[in-house]
Amino acid sequence: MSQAPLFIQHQAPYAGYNAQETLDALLVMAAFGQNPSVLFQGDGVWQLVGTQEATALGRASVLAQLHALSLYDVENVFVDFDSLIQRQLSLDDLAITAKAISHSEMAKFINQHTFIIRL
Amino acid sequence: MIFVLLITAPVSHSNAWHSYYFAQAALKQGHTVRTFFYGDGVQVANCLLSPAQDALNLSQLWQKLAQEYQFELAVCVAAALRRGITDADNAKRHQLQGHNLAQGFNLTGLGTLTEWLLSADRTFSFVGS
Repeated sequence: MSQAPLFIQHQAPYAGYNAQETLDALLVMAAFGQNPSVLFQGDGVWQLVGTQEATALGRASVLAQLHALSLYDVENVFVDFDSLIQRQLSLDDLAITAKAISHSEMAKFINQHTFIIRL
Repeated sequence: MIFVLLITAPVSHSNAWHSYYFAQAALKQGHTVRTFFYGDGVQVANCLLSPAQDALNLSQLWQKLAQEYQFELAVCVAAALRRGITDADNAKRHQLQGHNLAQGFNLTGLGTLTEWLLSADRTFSFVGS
């Protein structure tokens, strides 16, 4: 069983500060050397799609910050495959490489983590 | 047990109240409680909140509980500032006109949250979304 914490991104990138603040907490956890995983699910999958015109909303681009994940050695990036399909997206639409998890694998996947942060 | 309460529900959401009642019950039973207010949960640290006369003031309830059991009411500084909540120090640093952090609440960083999460026997999220 993995000892890693899991952060679930489940909201669209600029629907409030949820995406930004989940990412901030994840990056600090990574800076503490805890090897966190991140799962994009539901409207959270939109965070992975380019191009984001964040400045029009007065915000910093969430996607640009997601590119920093590899700088923090966050390699465990996952996406809920069914969430993509429901939004007529595919893995090819994503600007960040993510491993697809199907619904049938989801319970086992979630269970592999010590604790879950889903704000 | 060490319980970490990660509270992102705003005061208007029932989960913000559930977090308080959970903390109260756990403390009564002798457990250790660590509360971290994040996201919209930081609203509770605004001393200018003024609920109607027939409503309870959740900020004051937390203050009393923290005083009685001597535990920290930690508030994420970045989440607070972007929602217009600041203490005197940060107001000065960011050249803001006033400060409104309620007594008993502490502005702190996500390092605190991370340390607490790693030390917790159980982590509870009280979400508002």
